[in-house]
Amino acid sequence: MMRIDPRSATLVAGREYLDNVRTRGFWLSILLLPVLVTAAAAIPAILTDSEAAARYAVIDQSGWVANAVHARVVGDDVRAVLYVAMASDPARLPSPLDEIVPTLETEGDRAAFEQLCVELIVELERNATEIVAPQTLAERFAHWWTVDPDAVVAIDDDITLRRFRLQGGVGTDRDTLNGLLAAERLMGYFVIPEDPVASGEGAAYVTRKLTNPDLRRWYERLVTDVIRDRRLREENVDAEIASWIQTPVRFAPVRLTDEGAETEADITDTIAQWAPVAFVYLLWISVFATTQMLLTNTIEEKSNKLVEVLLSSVAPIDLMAGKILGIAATGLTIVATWLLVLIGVVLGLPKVLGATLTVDLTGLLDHPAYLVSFVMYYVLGYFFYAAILCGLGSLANNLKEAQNLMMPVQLCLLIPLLVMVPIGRDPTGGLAVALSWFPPFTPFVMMNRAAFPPHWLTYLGTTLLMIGCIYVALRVATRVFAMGILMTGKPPKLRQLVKLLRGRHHAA
Amino acid sequence: MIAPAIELERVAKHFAHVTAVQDLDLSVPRGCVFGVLGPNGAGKTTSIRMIVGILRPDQGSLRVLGESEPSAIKRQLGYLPEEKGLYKKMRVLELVAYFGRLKGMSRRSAKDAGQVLLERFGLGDWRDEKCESLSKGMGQKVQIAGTLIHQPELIVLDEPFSGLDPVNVELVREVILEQKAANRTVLLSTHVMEQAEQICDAIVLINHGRKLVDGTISDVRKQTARTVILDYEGDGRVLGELPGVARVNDAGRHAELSLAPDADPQALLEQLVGRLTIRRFDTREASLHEVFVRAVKTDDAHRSA
Repeated sequence: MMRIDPRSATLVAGREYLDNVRTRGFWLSILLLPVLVTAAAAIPAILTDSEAAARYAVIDQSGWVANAVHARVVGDDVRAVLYVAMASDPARLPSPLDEIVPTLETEGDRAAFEQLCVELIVELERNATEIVAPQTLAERFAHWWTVDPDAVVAIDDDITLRRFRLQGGVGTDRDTLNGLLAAERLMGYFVIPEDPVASGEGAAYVTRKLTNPDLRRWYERLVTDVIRDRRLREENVDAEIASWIQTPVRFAPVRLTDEGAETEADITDTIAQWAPVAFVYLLWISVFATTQMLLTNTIEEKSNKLVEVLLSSVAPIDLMAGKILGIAATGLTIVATWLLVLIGVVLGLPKVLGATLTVDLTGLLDHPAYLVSFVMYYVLGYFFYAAILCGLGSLANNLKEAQNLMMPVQLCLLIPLLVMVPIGRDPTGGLAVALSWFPPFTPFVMMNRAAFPPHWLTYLGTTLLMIGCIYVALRVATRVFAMGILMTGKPPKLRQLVKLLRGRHHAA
Repeated sequence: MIAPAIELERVAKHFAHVTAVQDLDLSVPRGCVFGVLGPNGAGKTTSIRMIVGILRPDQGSLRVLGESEPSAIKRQLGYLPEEKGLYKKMRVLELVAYFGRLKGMSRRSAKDAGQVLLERFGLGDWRDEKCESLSKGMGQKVQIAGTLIHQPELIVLDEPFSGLDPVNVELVREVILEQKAANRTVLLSTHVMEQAEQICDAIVLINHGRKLVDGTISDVRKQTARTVILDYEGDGRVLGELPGVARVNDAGRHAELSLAPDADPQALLEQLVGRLTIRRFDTREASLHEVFVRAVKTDDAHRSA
């Protein structure tokens, strides 16, 4: 293999790097991805905060189910608000909570006050009225609850009232409700049949927005609970026994650590185990974007004939090495920027926006191995594909020709994306093990397996395999590049290429 | 004894089924301006690419500045290719200095030399502009500056005048002659025979990859028979029937007669008197243009025969 002149290669690399990174477009484009990722993480949280509650109505032919359901909903919400209020500084609570909270000294006080309030609120909402001159604390609470629901929601945004609100009590007039649906003043309304305890037949949910099943599912679950309780009572089953019968068996996820200890698993653990899949995707984008950059750049230099001037000054191998290194540095800048933005987002965004991310990513920072593997496999993947694309790019005269030549490589690059999730689910399975040893996929698959790292010999073996393949790819690419970069006309077919490579047509 | 700047012996280059250059012998002395002439597709660019080390010959030997290994003389070589291109996003001085640095110059000296050259080409005010803002002619001058920045011993210019206005043609001509005055060798490829005639000390004429003729301008012109310029009245058809006339370019009352190598102009004049009324009869050496056209046509005729 020809010797690389470090000075020439560095000069070419420096120019390539500066040419890319000092444009505004470059920074805008690389910041676009983290902005989108951040948006994907933050927007649902922000949207949920700002989303208006879905309003619903109920036609209750049974005469009791809707009220029972509503009493439960209000009961749960009142309890939640009182809990939050009691844990807060009374001085910072709105009226009348600031006066109520100091009076609730014991759990018994709270339970009694809660029951009183719930009865009042349900009564007020059923009749769609309000207390004109509230006197007692319970009346003032009920008045505050029914008149200013937004203030209630501000105390605890996890309560049902924030998501779903009963509109105008329990109605019976279907036409009126259909009118409200058409005017988009209701998300939907429920029809509860005359005897739902005997049979659920006739129960309906009327809406124009079938794509949003949240309201239906929520209300269905509540009605089912109420009806189930009534059925158990009619069968003379004791309430406690009924509750015991209905208690589901839940398997608590427990994570076995590398040290052999058992720890309670939470969502952060799950995210950490899925994180390599996200990194594979980032790795794929990085490799794809930078090798595309290299390809485009090679074609541009070839088509505007600058390459002749360059080749009269530097050897083809120096030119190719410089281009590959320059774009590699560009790629590392992209990757480093993404990682820094990711860390910044994880640590800083909740503080800046005042919103919590829908996905807690802080656990990722406890796994520096992910970041190190990511950078390492980026470098290996990049050099492998860069060698191939630089060689192919030198044969093409324009982007269209290059795209045709690229097709097999692009198809090959799709496979790691297709197996990303299956390997994420079973990182030690046969598919993962087999594809780890197939060089075009090695960087992606090994990154994919990072949550359950294979034996160090696998790391060593696959890395050596990659380095060997990169060496061979660069060697062949240098010969193709030296020959192709001055070639004009239709790019050669594979057989012609092999024949040409055996000749001496290439540049000195 | 100093070796010639360029020496080619029986050099050949083939691409697939096409022979671009065949059995090309050439010797270019140092310190001269040497023209490489030939019609399109004659093999000029391939020959130049071999000389500047971009292509390797398939056969024959090639020595440039006394070296047979092209990589050894890359820093003493300045090359302006026929099709010019620039890095559009780079600034003018930065680009010229980059070419200098590729030739081994330090950052400082490349920048200083680049500045001087840009001033010389009237582009001093454009040093910080992006190349994409330059006109075609300006871009070409920037490339010539990039070719000369490291003061190369051998300068290879492929069509340096194309796309330039007359003022800039004159400027580039001056710069080329300055290089010659500094005892540097300039190898020049051009289609414009008048320019080659004015600027070159010697030329080689290539057709179908082979050398047709080479030598100093005056030797080459002498090798080709003389031309007669004729103003006349009468039936011009007789001109083609005259002995010793190789080719006639008849415009009605004005004609240019290319004479056969052994033809005697005096005998021709005697033949014409009595057949036509002669208003003017001038004889002169063939121009480079005539040498070119005649040599190429003759060669093509031999090939098709």
